[in-house]
Amino acid sequence: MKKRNFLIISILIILTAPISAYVGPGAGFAFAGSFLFIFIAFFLAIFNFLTFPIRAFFQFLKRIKTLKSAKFKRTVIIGFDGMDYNRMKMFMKEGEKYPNFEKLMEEGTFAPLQSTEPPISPVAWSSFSTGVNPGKHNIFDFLATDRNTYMPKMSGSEIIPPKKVLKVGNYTIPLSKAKVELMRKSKSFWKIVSSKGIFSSVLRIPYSFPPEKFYGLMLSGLGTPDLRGTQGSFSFYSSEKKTDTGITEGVIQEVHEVSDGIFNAILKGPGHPFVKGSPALEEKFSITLDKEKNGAKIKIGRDEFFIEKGKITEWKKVYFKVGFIKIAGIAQFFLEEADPLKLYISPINIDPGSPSMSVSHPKIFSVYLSKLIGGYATLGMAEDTWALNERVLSEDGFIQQVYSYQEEREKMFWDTFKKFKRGLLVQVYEETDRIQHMFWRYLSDSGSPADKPSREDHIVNAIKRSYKRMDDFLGRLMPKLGKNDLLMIVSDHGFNKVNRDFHLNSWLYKEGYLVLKDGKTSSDKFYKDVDWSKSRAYGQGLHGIFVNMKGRERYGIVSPGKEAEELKEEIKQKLKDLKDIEKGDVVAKGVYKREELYKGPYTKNAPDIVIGYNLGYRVSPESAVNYIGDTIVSDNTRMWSGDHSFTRAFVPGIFFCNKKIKTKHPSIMDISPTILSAFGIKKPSFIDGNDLEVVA
Amino acid sequence: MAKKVKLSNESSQKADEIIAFHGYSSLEELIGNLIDSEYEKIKSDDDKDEQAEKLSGLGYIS
Repeated sequence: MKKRNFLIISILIILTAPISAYVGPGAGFAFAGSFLFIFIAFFLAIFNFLTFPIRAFFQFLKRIKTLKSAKFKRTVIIGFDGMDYNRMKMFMKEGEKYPNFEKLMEEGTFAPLQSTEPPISPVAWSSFSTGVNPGKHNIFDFLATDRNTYMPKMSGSEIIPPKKVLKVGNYTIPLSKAKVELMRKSKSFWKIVSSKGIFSSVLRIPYSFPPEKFYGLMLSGLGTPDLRGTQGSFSFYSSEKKTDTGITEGVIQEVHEVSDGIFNAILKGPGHPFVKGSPALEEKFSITLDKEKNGAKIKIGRDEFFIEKGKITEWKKVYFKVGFIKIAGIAQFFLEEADPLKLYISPINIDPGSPSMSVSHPKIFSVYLSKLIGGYATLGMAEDTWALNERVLSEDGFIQQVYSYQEEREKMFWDTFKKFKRGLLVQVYEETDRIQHMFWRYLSDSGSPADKPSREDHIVNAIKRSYKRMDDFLGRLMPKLGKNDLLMIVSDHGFNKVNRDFHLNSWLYKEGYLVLKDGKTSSDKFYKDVDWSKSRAYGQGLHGIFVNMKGRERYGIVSPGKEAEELKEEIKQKLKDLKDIEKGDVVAKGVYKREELYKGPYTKNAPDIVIGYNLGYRVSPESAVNYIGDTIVSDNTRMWSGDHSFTRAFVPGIFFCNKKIKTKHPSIMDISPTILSAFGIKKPSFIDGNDLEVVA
Repeated sequence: MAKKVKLSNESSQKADEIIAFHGYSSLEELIGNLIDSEYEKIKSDDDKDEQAEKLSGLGYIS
């Protein structure tokens, strides 16, 4: 036995090949390096842990110092998006009762709040957040221009794809993370306040996506995408033929009955993260009609629930599988009709309870809220205005949706308020904006050519009701505030009728500034048939015209300097003189070169010319997606009948305060320095707005 | 990974003047903007279809 073992060992030693491995000093370094990395990480963790009390102490000292010079114990700012100064006064004159707004008027301040030019949410709320003019915060419109492709792009954030990817056949494996960059520049008041040791809660402020890191809590607002990365794409299922629906937006699917009252359908989700071209992930589901209960049963994944016809559901979880990974979203269902089947599914929102992309700071905050109140809308423009425009969602269904989101947001507010002993709390509500956009046509002075099919009071008087609902909210809040608390109510702009569409790009074509490819008399979306080598200017966004500038635009032909300046003057003059032949009104009240409006390092990103539209006119949706045709001005027959894309003098916002202020003409840029002043913080030199001088 | 850059006194003074003149909120913002401007000149085209997709659902425009 011993002999045999000896023999085996001897053979193994003889036959063993030498190991070809590098065991020099480099390997030693690598080995030691990995230990060093663990050691440093461990050391830092210990260091952070041990120094926490010291850091907390310094933070405490900072807080005490700031609070000593603070004029108020708590500062609460509420935004009612789009609440209009003139309409508020008109409603009051007509006898509408807003006891809480009236109380603020009597005991504090009520004034028109000057908006930005243009007076639209991204621009105005960014000036609210930073106290600076758009030339310093870089947001000039909903859309910016891509000077390489001439395509519009979202102005608020940019998704930067992973820098490193591994390509294997049809698969693309990301080796690093994609990043989302906030395009709004300058410094928000909550960052300044929190840097002084004051805890701040900032909920749903537009253009706060991706959420910023600071000493406080944030939930992102307008600008946050849905799970598919869009600004909100609904899904619609109908047993009618696709061509009969007349719907142009969203994901439209024709479904067939597989057996009596049972339909199979597919919900399209986000793009496949690993497959080239990112085809949409899909989740199958079934719809079983229940005529007795006047509704349908939905079976999706492991979930099964009943939806009542005409009632929007609460949020339902939906999952999209990629191998072992599940991407979570939430959606609402609405059965419009059973025969023929008409089912609406809201845009799939990022699930706040399991966010695939952070929508809050810290990330866990959205999860906390979801545990507290259940699912809630995370999409920036969650109220599905376009589904109503397309008649996929009824007027009543839309109002149900808007009210349910308002309810969610108030629940968040009250939970935050309950814990709010000192510091800053800000929240923006969007109900007033969405309701006015969609129901302005019912106002007796609207003159709207759009349909007004309803006679029901909650639809016809939706705007009055919405103002009242905000008053009721104040009625719940104001008694909870003390004399040492400051309350400011602001809106970013007002509202009015929009009855006429101006097809800006068609006008630029007619005037010879945009030139089409040979033989073309119209162009499809996104300037498909434009000859850039001959075009001198193009429209982008809701208010802008860009010069096709040499050295700046990819196929630019206009030389900067004299040629460009002469061109801008020429376009300005023509636009000022432009009349709507049918109505006899001018289309634009003010036309400005960007230098006349903005001052700051980002002015170079603004449109070369900014149009301040006349009341009742705005750029057409077709022009905003760069379509070119032969119509210059046409009727707006969409349900989207109220707007604020005019020159700012027509649409002042509101400013209410529970204290008197010394300034007579407040502007939205003044809110940030006023908040800083409330905490006794000196206004930084870059801020353009002024302290409203609240009388404590 | 974030990087730290050391500026000479001269550059630092010039930077302060630029910040005050243009209204930047910080040195980080100034440097970020200068880098973005240079990056804009070298970056390749985005996918047009992808850009169009991102815009869908924006009630204001389409």
